[in-house]
Amino acid sequence: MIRAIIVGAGRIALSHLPHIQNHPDVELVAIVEPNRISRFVIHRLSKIKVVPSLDDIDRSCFDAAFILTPPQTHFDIGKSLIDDYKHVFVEKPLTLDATQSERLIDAAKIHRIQLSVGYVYRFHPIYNKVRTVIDSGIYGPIQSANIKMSGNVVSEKAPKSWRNSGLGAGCLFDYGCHAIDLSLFLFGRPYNVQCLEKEEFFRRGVVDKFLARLEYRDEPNFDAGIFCNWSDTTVRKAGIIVELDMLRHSLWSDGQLIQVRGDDDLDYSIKDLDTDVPYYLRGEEFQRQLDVFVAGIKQEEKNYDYAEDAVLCDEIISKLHECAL
Amino acid sequence: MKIYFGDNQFLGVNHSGGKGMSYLERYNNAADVAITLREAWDVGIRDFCFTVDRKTVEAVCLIVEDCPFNLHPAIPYAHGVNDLIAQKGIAGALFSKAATAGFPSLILAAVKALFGRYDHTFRILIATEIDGIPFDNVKSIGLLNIASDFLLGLNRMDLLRSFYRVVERDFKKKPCFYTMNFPLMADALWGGGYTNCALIFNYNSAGFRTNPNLGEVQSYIRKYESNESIAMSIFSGGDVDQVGKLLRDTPELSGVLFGTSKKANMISNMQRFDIG
Repeated sequence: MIRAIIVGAGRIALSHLPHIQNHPDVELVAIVEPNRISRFVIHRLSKIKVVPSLDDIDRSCFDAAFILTPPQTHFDIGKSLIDDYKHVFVEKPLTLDATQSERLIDAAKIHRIQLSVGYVYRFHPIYNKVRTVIDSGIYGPIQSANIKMSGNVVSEKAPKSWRNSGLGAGCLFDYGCHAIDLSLFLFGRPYNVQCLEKEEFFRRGVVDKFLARLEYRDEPNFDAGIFCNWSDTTVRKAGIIVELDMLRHSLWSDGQLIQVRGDDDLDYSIKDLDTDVPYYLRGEEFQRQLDVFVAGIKQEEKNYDYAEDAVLCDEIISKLHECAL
Repeated sequence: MKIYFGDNQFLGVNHSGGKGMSYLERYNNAADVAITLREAWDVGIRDFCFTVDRKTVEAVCLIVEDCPFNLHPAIPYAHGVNDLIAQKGIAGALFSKAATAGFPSLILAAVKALFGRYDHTFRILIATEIDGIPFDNVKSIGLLNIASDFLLGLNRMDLLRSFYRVVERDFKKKPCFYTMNFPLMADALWGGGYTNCALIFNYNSAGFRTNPNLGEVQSYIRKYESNESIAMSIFSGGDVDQVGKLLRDTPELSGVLFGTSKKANMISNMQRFDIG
């Protein structure tokens, strides 16, 4: 049994908590949450011991930690835990600085502990199918690609939080980084990154919409447009759309369906894919992500491929964040 | 087998982008929803399951005198809650919901919750959410899977049972639980002696979201054959012609919940379920 703690009991914790508490191989021993009201609510809800600081927990009483705090805290908390030989799951993005992210991976490798990052779309059945279709090469090389993430998650009236003010605020660090990571998952490392458009709707310095171009110059040669708008009031449910132009076919997917159009049309629905999970809440991907993290802890040989992509993702986020238009 | 009409098509949910949007455009207002509900009544459907979306509730009010459906509202309406959180944050959304219940009632619920008694909180939440729905026609009150499966994951059987108790005792209706984890939920409620409730869960020949797997779901339908099990998403994936076989394989099933925007589909589905 893996004894685990959760650090941070904000909105994303509500998605992870039921999976963690329900997992047969994980025993949740404590939750760390500095906010008094959140601490009270999460304790009433989970009945798990909740403490205000990591210093309030005896480090010998847990093996793994889920870091679900705002991004600017990820490095310090993560480094401290990895140095204590704790397996660590970090919500995305890994950190706000690729150099720091690199240091986390290096430490994880030295201590031979599992390091995973919460890019949950990598575990989504449909986007895995998209990757399988691309990798199979049956429709020829990609000519161009677009990945678009839209949602209505931050509004003008939204109360001030780490999402819309201060370090790590804005859609590059939250929803947008999913679109960037999905590009890495589907196409690999780009040759170059360009920021084409950034908009701030509500607060100065906080990006609410961006358009970037990732250039792939190895075989195949193509550009991938990455778009995110997290304040689109016309969107009912946040989601990612993938569009690909291949040699003789086009592919479109929205997370429910893949449509391939060309000489011969073909549709793949999520309903036709393997969706079995031992516990379901808000999609298969949360359970599968947790299962992979748990399996990684148990394995002798650790795999850092996804975590290394998360470092690359941080590098791209930083470039886009810093570029002036 | 009892047939329940569902409302996914009115909300454009669980449909791929283009189809979902076209449903939203088609069911732009309550009058549009009411037209389809009248068609459902005309073909002989008598039970309507719906989330407490304002447009759907308005449609129900428009047609309920002519078409006195047995109503099965379910809470909470997830998109409404999401929009509220986007506008006000989690704390603001909670306060906003609670404020509509009235301050004294809120204080009482908070004090009772402090001592681990949640019935009053559920009473307030349910009363707020089903406000405006013709109460005499309401036969059951459901807890949607986003809430019920969340509590299941947290192992908070006490809260699931509190909902059950409040619906049955205070509202005098049948409790109903939507779930994507049917075997786990069946053991938690029916297995725990809370048998006077319906469970609504995915069941289809393709095994789409029939967690943990189709075989296990089938064995649990049989295991709890005397309880009220209602299949939804029965046409999801696989061959439509397989639906009849699936239903014949599990005669223990109590009902089927389906939604469609087309009258022709209502009729053919009723025939498929062998009651048309």
